[in-house]
Amino acid sequence: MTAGLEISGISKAFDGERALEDVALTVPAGSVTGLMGPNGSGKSVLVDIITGQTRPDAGRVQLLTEGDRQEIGGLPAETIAGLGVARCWADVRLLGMASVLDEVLVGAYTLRQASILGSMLGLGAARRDQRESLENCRQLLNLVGLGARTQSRPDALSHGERARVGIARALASDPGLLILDGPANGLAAEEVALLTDLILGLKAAGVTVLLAERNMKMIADCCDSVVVLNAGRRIAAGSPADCFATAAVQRAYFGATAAGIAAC
Amino acid sequence: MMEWLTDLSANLATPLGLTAAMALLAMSVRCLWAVGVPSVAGVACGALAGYLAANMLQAGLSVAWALLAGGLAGFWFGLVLAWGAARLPPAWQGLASLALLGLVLPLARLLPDWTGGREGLALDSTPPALWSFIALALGLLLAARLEGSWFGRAAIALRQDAAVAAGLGIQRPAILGLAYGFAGLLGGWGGVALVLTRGAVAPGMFSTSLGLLALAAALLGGAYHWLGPWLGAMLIVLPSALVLDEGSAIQDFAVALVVLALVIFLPRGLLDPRDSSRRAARARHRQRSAVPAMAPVDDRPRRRRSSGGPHRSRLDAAIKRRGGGPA
Repeated sequence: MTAGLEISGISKAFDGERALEDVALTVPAGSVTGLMGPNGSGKSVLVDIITGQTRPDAGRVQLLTEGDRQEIGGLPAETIAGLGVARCWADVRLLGMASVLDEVLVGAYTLRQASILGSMLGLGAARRDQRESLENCRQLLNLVGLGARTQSRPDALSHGERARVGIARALASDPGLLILDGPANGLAAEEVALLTDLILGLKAAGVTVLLAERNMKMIADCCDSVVVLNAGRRIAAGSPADCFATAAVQRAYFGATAAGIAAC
Repeated sequence: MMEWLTDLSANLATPLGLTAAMALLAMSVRCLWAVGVPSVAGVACGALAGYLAANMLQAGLSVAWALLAGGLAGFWFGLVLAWGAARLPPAWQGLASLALLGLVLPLARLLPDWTGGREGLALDSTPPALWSFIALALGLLLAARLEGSWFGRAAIALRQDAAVAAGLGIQRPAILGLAYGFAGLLGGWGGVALVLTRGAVAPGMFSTSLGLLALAAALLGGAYHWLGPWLGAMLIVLPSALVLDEGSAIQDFAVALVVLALVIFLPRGLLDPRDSSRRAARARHRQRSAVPAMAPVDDRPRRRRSSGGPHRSRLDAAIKRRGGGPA
């Protein structure tokens, strides 16, 4: 089930240090929305708040599913994941499973139907569940271009491949909302292009994506709309082209406006 | 010849029974290790199950009933322990389990009607070692089944990165509770097997030394592989049971030395799934080098996952349109 997201008035401070202040963001269902900003702007903190890893000091986080609106701000991470919100981490954080396939299979945890007793006794339903999960995860690995690496060890993969395993793992839960936190971090240009293709493929498939990223080209190529943060505050929102043209965004990224740079 | 075989099997029955019991106790340690908890709580469950089994056998019930009741009592006690341990960090759970084992001896003395006090309880006759092997077979089957199940994967996720596990929807209390329950079940069977092999139960049997022995067996064999504890028990307990006196100072010294050496030099034990997958990867690499490289083509018909949401079919369609991904 595709889901949207509405965030308003989110504030968060760590030991008195402001990380976010009165941030608002809307992610329409079925869209790719960018969350942009330079290092330390508060993107990952906001992602942590949406996914329940961090509690906000103030504000609302609402999940929108088929006309229903559910407050998820402050809920435990596992509960939010169970509602169909999946995320990828900026530093990938694979789990050291024996194979790439196992790494993706663990992402299907919320979809399991077999009971623990059924799994222990190897009952038909548990075997069917396992078979379907395996097939689904193989398809997802094909989707991210790692169909030939299902039995490889995760630590034998390149950083870009590991990032794609992380995306496949998040997709394994069949999420209504997929949050990608810094997926292009440390990737070469070709790998970023590959990732961009993948996100556009997900968009075509109707998956709602929130892309927290500082790579402006990737944001421009993938996103329908974007919200820009700087030092914990929202400084711009709108289409990527409009936001990039904003003086505040240019100053946040380049320390000067485009006109100022041209004048130099 | 027959006489020699009979003598041999009679001489081996006790060492093999002890090995089976220790393998089950080591499996209980591994069960909690799987979720990142270095605890010997399963051995405490084994003490409860052992005393229960001894009482049942003294009351004239069959070994099968004692085994069943011991396993269930261990499972139940494991769940109770999980309820108390869930709020503690893993290292503190380990310390708490040592304290728990320390309670067995004084408790046994305080409840002489049920435990036989300082002397313990002696069985009228020692049951055949076959029962210990049956318990071990059941334990190995359980461990193998759990390894490839959603529980096994969730346990690894929890051990490796609790924050990521939570982000994947894995509920820590549920997985921790199941891990304690299964550790109790395996420890319970181990405790019953120990009582059956010894033909008696005494307070000193379930001491911290036994916990250390179970930990050593799990570490030596490989706490990351379901067969590891069994292999470790075979290597640690069988030779010492055949050659040395029970509970000798040399055995205790050797076990402590083995644990120390393992923690330093071979923390993942002899059976390591990572090694086997490395070997498989090397074999695949050699195979690929031997034949001309070909682009992988996945032309298998794709099935729609029944539990998938409405966008799953659109995702599948997108996969097909894209010819199996960007590779």
